[in-house]
Amino acid sequence: MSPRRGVRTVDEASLRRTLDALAGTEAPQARFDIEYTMARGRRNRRVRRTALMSSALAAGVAIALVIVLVVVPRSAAVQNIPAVPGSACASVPSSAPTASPGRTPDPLGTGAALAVPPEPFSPLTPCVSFGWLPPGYTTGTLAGGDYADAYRQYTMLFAAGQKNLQLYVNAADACTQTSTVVNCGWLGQIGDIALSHPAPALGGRAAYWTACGLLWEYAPSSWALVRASCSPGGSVSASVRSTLLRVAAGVRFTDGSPMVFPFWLKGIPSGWQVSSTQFVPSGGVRDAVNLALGPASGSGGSADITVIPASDSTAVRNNIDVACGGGGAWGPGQTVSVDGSPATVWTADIAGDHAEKLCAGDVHGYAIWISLDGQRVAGFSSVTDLARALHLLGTDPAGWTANPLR
Amino acid sequence: MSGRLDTEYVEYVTGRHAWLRRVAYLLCQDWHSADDLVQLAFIRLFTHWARARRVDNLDAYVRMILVRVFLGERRKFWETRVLLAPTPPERVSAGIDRDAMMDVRHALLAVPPRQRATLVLRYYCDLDVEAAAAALGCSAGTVKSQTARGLAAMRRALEPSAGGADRG
Repeated sequence: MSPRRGVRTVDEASLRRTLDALAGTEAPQARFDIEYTMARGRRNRRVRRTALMSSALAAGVAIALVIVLVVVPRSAAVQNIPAVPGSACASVPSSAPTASPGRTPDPLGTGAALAVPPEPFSPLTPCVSFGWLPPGYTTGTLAGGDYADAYRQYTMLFAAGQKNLQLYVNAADACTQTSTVVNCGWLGQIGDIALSHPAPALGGRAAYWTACGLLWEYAPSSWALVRASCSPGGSVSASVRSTLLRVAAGVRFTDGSPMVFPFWLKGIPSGWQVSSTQFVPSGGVRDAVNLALGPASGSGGSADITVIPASDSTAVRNNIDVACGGGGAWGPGQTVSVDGSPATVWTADIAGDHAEKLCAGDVHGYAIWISLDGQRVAGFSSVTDLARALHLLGTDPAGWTANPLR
Repeated sequence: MSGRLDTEYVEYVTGRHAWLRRVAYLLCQDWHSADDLVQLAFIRLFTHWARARRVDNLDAYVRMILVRVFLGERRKFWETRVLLAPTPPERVSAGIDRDAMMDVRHALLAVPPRQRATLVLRYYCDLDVEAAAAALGCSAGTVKSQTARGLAAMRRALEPSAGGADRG
């Protein structure tokens, strides 16, 4: 990189000054969610505990075998060893729901309205929707799965264009409440949420302000939260609260029009499931889809697949282009062929952990970006094989599928 | 018990988020990635919070987590995950020499990640060689050599003769 003008000296003193100045550059609004951080941290703890229990169980089994084979007389009864409790991530199906293909995502809720969200939660089936969004709000992204193993909750995320303000809606059932607090496990925040600032009732139901959102009881023991992006410890302005009121009034639950995908993927091993999805249903980008996969246990690798029309030139494509590159831990890119189209593959190995990523600019009209982390997906020897197992279904949504894993 | 620990964690993160975010920004030169780095670091902190809250210097502990996330998991998350939501443009404060900032950013980006982390720890976080070595998980000698190489790399990046055409 060449400097824009003149020679800038670099000694220790000048570097201190310039780093201070650089760190003082006006920062955009933080994209930080402390509740998400804690929820993920709890999940990590559970995974670690499960791993420890598994190790302990394996050791116990080994010891028991020694005892049985060596110490205990053959006539002694051998008691069954109880199984390790499985992951709590039972509500996310390992495959897509059986829905008729061809239905497009339903971000604004044209499906049948329900009083409460259907069960079980699946990141493949959005069932909470916004009925109204402020003008200028462009793209919607559905995310799911991160909390699905522990809490029944739903997140629909919309990013605002100009205002740098994001809106979320979450819902949870089986909440416990007293006259002063409600606790849904996780609902935009962990633990007790104070019911100390009453808001105008929504649909005849009690509603309360939180620091950055609006909370209301949509059904007995079931609460929903519409919240705005908010700095830790911060709060939102009166105008944002006004927006939240209107957004919340439009929130509804639907029968869950399944997402449809412009591809399907074969050979995913049993035990792997969809962990999250993203889609951009309208606005500047059409039909960008992201699908993340991983073992139900939450550890042991992950695969992340994004497809986007090759002709797209918006922010999503820019994000993909930025991600497609070598440097750092990545080795030199290697050109491979995916369905007759050129693609580039990079690999990295750090501390025995293997990762691969693949970028293809145009495969049957789609740009493809796949990353594979940690343990390789059984049945696929490389990210290239995974890409070759991806069957694209053309650009006509009528031919797409709600069953992306086969 | 759990509730009290959570409260302590929230208080700590709330108070130190802005600081850690700026360190992360210097490491990766991108606010968007800095947010991801900070998020990952705080997730890891929460995972070990019961133990971490008792360390003598919690800031140093968290900074160490951040640096190691930056060095060890760059490819894992914030360089590989594609976000479909658009990214807002960065803003520059009035009165800041934008060209100078861009030059420094470009120069820092030209420095390999481990050397960059060393420079940030030494000259922004004001750590001595031993403390930087602890944060980086390497020897004091390595910190010294990484510092020298990092400074040299920045000088090369900022010298017009090394970078090609200069608009001067």
